[in-house]
Amino acid sequence: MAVSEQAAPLISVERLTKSFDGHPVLRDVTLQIEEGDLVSVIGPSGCGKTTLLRCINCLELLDSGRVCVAGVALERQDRHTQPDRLFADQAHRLRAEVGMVFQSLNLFPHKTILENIILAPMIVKNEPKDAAVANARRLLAKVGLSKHENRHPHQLSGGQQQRAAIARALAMNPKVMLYDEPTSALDPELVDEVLQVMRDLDNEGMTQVVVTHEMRFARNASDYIVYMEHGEIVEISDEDEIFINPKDDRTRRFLRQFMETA
Amino acid sequence: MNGSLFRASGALLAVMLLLLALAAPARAQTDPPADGGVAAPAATPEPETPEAESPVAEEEEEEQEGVPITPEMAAEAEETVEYTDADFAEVEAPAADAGILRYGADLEGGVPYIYDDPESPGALIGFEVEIMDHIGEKLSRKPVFVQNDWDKLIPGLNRDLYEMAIQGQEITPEHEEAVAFSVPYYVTALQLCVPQDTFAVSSLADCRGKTVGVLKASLSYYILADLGGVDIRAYSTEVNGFNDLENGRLDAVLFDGPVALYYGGPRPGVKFIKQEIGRISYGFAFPADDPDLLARVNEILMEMRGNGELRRILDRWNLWNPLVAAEFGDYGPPKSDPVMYDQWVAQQGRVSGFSEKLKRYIGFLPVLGKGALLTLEVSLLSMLLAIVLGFFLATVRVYAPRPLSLLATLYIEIIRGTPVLIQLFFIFYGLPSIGIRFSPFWAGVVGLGMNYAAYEAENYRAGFISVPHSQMEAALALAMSRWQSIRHVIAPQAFRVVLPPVTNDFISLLKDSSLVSIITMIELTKTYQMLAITYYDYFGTGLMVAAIYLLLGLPFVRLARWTEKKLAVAHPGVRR
Repeated sequence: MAVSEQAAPLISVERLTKSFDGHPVLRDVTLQIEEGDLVSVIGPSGCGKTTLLRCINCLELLDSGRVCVAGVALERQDRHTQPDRLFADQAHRLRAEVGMVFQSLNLFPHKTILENIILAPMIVKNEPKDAAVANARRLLAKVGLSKHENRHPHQLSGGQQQRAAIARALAMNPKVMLYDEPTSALDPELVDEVLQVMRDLDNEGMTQVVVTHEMRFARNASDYIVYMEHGEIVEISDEDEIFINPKDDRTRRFLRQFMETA
Repeated sequence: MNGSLFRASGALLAVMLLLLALAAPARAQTDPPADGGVAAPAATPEPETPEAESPVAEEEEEEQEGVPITPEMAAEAEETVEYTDADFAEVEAPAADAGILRYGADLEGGVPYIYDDPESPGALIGFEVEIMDHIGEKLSRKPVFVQNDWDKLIPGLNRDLYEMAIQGQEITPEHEEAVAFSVPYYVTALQLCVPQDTFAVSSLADCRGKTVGVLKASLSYYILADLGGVDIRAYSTEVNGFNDLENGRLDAVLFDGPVALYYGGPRPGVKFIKQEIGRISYGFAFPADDPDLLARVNEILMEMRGNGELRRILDRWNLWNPLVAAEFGDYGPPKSDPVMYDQWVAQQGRVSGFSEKLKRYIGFLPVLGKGALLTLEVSLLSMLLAIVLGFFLATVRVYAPRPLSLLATLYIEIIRGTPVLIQLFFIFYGLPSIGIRFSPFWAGVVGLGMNYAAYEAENYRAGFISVPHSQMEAALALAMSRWQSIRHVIAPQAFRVVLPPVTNDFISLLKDSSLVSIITMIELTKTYQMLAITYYDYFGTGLMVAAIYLLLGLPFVRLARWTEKKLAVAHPGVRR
């Protein structure tokens, strides 16, 4: 393994390709994300941004290329000669380093909020219940849901559910948090409470990657923005620069359209 | 009303579960043969316990294995080993238990060969029972009755369920190819019976163009078939044949002499045609490979023929006829009054008052209770197997890699696509040929359990599919393994969806468990058939049995509804 001159990035994606049914979704994507960064990934629908996120925590197994998070790497040359099952173990280890919050509200409906949070630490990491509960309460306080620990998901608003989902992911002590359009299923007035939690985490130094349509959030909170189109990274740029002065025409077109409709 | 019914059934269930729990340890132990018990204390390393232990064990044994219809010597019931509970070793090694002599027969429609004494349900009587008692006495072995359907008595013999098959086995060249027969102990002819008020049929030849009832797989069938032009109706029970004769569905019935005498004789609406048709010799059937027992039984039968003992028995049952006289060379006067026949006729003629009927029904309760207990045991254990195996199959089908999931699908399709009856026969009679032998009880549990597992698997699959895929992804993203995700996240949510169909299946299994009667088990439905035929009362007994089935199922329906309500708290309405 090559030692880079600087400190190794926390997330490193190299020459990643992925296709579904012969239809390429990611083409040769390379991306490095440093520890503590908050990165927004934007782009039109179908540009591959969600797939990129899902490849980072191996919910989708990349066809070829390399993903490395916090030193845990998964590398594949060719999906035809190397079947998926060879990578099941690495994928599982990699996932343990990564927390993920989805667009759909998918807390476990048969469990209370507290139970949602302590389940994985207890069965995956064998944490004793007391410790898991104490940690869960600390996280619930952080996302402002202390009063709701004994409620079931359906008793909470969408924003509260997403905050609980963040707490649930944090309970596994991930090095990285991924968000797949975390606010797009929410009513507009509930969006900010979720984004605020992400800002707080950023202040604490959490590394976060957000696929989002919230341009205001992307612009204000991100350290930098990744613009994708047709399965490729078109532009990586400072948050203000990309809005004021996009280098690439495609980015400019997308942003202009977006601002008009928004 | 509903509530009190529920409470009553709840109490019944509690009692049954308790009995089940009591029975379990007894089932697990291999009961020692009566003789072995004598030697055991000396050989046992702990001298203080055996005396205290063995009576308890025997008592327990008696409680749970009392044959629904107890073997003839009810007083010595503690020695009897019940076949339904007999575990594999006992069933398969009868010769080793030198103390007992197992014989197969069918109590359903067994009059006058072997049947449940109407005077005291639970005791067996019949002319063949008396012969067996004699044989047992001479052999110093206790005859123990094993129930099997009449037309499966010979397969059961070859399956080693018992050492000999009785109950009017005709000695014919075809039968002799499969089994060995004793010397004849009785000879009779076929008897043609017609309705009292008709003259259309007065001989066998008149049967042409008429509708005639016979017993399945009997000599009468072939005789009528040879005659030609007869509309033959094959019955499995004599009573139904006579019922149809009386209510005009049949022009005549043709049965073995004793059957006609006992079932047709007491009926005022039935007339016997005086014509000797065919000649039937009864012999006990033995496996072809057991010449020693056959030789001993032949000796004893010849002795009984010679000293008039057999004649005495046949006279008691009013079965002596010129054919037997010629066979035995005995033309002397009767050695006994036909006391047993008279008793039977008296029982048939009696018109019971309400209170007498009620008393009789109450007398049925212990027998029906035993049948119900067996039904419940078989159903609960099969369902347990079905649920566990079904869950496994569904998990494999939905989540395992392709070759494995195809195997699970194949299993499900094969099992669902073939009749459970065939599966039970196959497991019980078929598997022994490749060395897999189950006792009747476990064959029933395994057969029904494996069958229902296929249906449960489909229920679970539907349940799994109803849980959104995002739930699985959320669990995987939390670094849970696939199995952990299924177990902690998917299955609990699927459970709620699956509960109603699973409850439904259990109720249906409770009723399907009556199928195990074909592999020699006397469960509730079989008990009903035997009681109804013996007492000629399908109505009252039928209502009782229906009520018991309802009571058995009700607690589970209620339990399921309660669980559903409880789970609904966490899931208001259907998931969006």
